[in-house]
Amino acid sequence: MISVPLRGAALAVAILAAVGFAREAWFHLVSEPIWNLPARAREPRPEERYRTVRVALPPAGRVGYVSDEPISDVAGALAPDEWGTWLYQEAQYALAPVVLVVGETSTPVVLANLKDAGRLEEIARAHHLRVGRRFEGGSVALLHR
Amino acid sequence: MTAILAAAAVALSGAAVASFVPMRRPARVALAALFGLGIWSAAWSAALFLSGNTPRTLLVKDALIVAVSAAVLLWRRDGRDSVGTPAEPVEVPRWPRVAAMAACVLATAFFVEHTLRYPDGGWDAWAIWNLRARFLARAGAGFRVAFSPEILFWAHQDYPLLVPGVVAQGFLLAAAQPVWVSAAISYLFAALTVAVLAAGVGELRGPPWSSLSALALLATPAFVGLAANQQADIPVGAYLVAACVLVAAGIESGRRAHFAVAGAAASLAAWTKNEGALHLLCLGFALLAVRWAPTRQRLRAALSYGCAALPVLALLAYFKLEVARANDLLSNPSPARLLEVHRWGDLFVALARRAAFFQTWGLWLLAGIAVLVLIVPRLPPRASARTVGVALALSFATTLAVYLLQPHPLDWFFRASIDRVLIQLWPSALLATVLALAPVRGGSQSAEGAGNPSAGEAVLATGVSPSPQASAKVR
Repeated sequence: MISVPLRGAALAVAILAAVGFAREAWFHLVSEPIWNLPARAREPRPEERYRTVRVALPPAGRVGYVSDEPISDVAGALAPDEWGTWLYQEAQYALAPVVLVVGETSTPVVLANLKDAGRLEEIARAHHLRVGRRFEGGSVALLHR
Repeated sequence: MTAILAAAAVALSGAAVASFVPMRRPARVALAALFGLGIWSAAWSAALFLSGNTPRTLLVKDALIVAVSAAVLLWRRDGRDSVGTPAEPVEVPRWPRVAAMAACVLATAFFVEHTLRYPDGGWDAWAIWNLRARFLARAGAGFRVAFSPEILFWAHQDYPLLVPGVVAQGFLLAAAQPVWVSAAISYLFAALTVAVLAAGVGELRGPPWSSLSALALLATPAFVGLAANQQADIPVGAYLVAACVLVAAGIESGRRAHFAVAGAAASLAAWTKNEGALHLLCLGFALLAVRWAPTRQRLRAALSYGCAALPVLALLAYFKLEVARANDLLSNPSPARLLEVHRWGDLFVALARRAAFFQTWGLWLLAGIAVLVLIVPRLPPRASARTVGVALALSFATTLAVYLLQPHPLDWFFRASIDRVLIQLWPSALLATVLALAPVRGGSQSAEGAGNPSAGEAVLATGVSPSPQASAKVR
């Protein structure tokens, strides 16, 4: 045999492609229900959470960062869940070019980014900071010395 | 005006590089667009590091690119090798072309659906690539803050800048950071991956195979999903398949210019993601190690390949040594992990399961393994397929070693990354498969079955480069 028959190869590709597209169609039409796409597309993007705090922060430079969720900040040592890391990444994405420094509390302003807004005062006290402006019902706040 | 100059810089620089490879128009156009984007981005990064991020940086850089590219194109106009389109030996069936076009429409619809749902892309897109693009576009003269070690290591500050460079320049041209910029760029790279694969296969094996290869790539669930998630692995795959097409064309034509341009393509893969540097090395090694020509000819090919990669590699070296901090995956490598038998066991079990992972691969990986085991050994060895195949196998094997060495939990890290590693290699694996299965373009094969090998085919099967005398004229 010098090469495979074109007709056989084409038939095999056609069958595999049909299976592949069926899987893609299932994912894009059913797993991600196509009927709720218009509503989903109108939902606010995650970074909307930081729209107002962005105006209150300095335009660039270092800003301390604290949270009520553990953050995976060392390679190879994962936090029990990804909430804290996800919140940090989301805030950093929204607020660049400000650099959010995890655990830093000596900057003039510190960003508190919480999963549970009810823990704001507790988190501030733990870091010897006082609560300044609150955003998003207190789940995002600026803390000061 | 700035946008027009930028478009001219992309078009002319790509055309200038593509003018060095004598290929048919579809392959040349696809390669030119891919090279244009890469050069546009790499040149901006170089300009940032050299002269800082001022409002004039983009403008001056694009003006320089246009001037140099126009000069190269004028110089190449007389010496350019034209490749006509010879008549095909038999009438080719039309349905693969129609099916491939329908597949493009379907894949585009799926891409748009997912993008409307997640306009910022997947985790890596917004946590790494688009984050870096925002830093570069927003920070102005203080752009080096994008690589601050104080940002959490998940942002992978050491990752090269090809994709953030394109997106950030898009932001600067738009004078804002709309989400459609990064989504459109991701779509463009995905479309160019399909175009380069199809045009390259068409160049080397003829029209029905080009449509079939495009159909196979578009019908791979992971491809559309990862493209819609704006992952940089799609551009890595695009530059790698471009390099593989050019290496295969160089081996089958004996023209050294192909190897040089392949080196440039592979270097752009290295400037896209760290894995790209590995692919560059493995392809260069395969070019030397696989016996597709006498040693002297292979050495000259590898030299051309390496020299053309040098400019972008110099940029990468500067970035790694002066700008970026250490890679987290290799920050605490432990050779002892290589000796842990249970890690090897876990890895191979995970690999076997992934081969049959229907959600992201359909039946394609199983089919690929079946072809490799059952059909390829019965065919005469083709030097181009062997070279690309050895390079891909080497890249994959080395990546597996990284899985064992890296510090994260193996199962978690494997599940989070293996599809992206595989999608980098997949377009080139499809290319290698077609190169192995199909006769060279112009060789005789009917739609019913394989014919006798042509003279060139017989020579290629022995692993000796064809027509060295004829090739020498165009070197």
